[in-house]
Amino acid sequence: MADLNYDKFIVRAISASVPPRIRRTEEFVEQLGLEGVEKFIKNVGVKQGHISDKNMTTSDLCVHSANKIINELNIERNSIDVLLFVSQTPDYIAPSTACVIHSRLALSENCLSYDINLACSGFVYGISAALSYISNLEINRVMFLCGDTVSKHCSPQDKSLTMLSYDAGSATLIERSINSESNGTFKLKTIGNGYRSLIVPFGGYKHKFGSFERTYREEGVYRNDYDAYMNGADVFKFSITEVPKLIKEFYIKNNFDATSFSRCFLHQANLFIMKNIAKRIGIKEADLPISIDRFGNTGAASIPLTICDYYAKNLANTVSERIIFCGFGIGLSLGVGMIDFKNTVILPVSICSESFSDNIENLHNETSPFINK
Amino acid sequence: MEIKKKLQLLAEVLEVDAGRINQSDLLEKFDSWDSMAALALIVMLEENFSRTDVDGKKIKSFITILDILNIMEK
Repeated sequence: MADLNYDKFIVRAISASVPPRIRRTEEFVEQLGLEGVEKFIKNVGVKQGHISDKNMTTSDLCVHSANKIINELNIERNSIDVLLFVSQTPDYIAPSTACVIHSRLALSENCLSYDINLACSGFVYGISAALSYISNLEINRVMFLCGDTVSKHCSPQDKSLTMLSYDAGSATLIERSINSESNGTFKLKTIGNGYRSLIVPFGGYKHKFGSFERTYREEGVYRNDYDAYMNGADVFKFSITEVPKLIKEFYIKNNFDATSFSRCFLHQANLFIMKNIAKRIGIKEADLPISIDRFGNTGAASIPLTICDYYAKNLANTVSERIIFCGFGIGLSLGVGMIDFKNTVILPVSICSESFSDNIENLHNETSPFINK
Repeated sequence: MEIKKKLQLLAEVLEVDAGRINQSDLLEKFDSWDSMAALALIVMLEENFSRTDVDGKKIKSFITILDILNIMEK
């Protein structure tokens, strides 16, 4: 059973970043009609979101957030022992994007770095992984990056997915602290037989080459082989049955109830789903912060983005309270966690406009053959 | 549950007056029968009839109002 407990840590800071360009749901009026757009906004809850351009990737958004924390809190770059990057929109098939970010952040060679390939549940899994490292005596600082450019997964002619999916990155700094009274409690699960319900089927090594041509797949949906596929009804059913079940099991296991937490942060999947889950687990709507209206569904970033949006409207804020958060989706993977913020610095959502140029065209001019002349 | 109450629940899912729904109606006749209505149907069946077996495949198999009425029982 993946029931996990952590202590002797503090969550020092959280930051989130989005690209500058805003797309409004109203822009789909021509395709969907006014009534369709209004219905989408009412049910799914997305009025707008931020969307990255061709050059900007998840790593740019996460590096931006990490630098915000490092600069605002005067963190010594050499003091970071662990760098985790959680995303399903990495820069390359290989290497780990974390290694590239390690270079861009100028971290120490003694910092371990790697990617965790998860999305909607990624923040919960990532924090849990970060806290596992922190329980080791020699690990004092973990920089945990978490984000997605979900918009790049979707066919623009798959309206249900594309109108929902947007981009964001985040950074969370966690430190070892012997005298801390903060606790972290987690329950993580996998429903692997749902792997086909949400999938980007081509471009990996199972199906490396597919067709780029977007063809008719179902009513209102044109997709190519590299675009994400979602079985909406199956994912929905999973969300409103398995997620409340997970949270109820978590309550029972740890003697919690809906009043044990000041706030509940759900993965911003879809407003209808979030309200339904909240109702089933006894969370009042006032205690359920919402960011999906202005930021859409941003995959792995949605929980930290909502935390920054909620606590730090315009200015950085120092927060001390106990929160519950739950991520669920592609995998199908799901997890719930309780964590204590203690003087945690929450930075406002910031706009990232720089993207990293890797000068990849020059790759072959940089390498000299391993031949003795 | 009596049939009148079932039709009322279906009317809420389809966002129409209960009086406008007949058992033989084709679902495609309703403009409101779309992916969101399908999600509302899943919730309604789960909350009122404890049906947890309604997935994408099953939704696609529904042709008429009667098809849904037939599974509206515990």
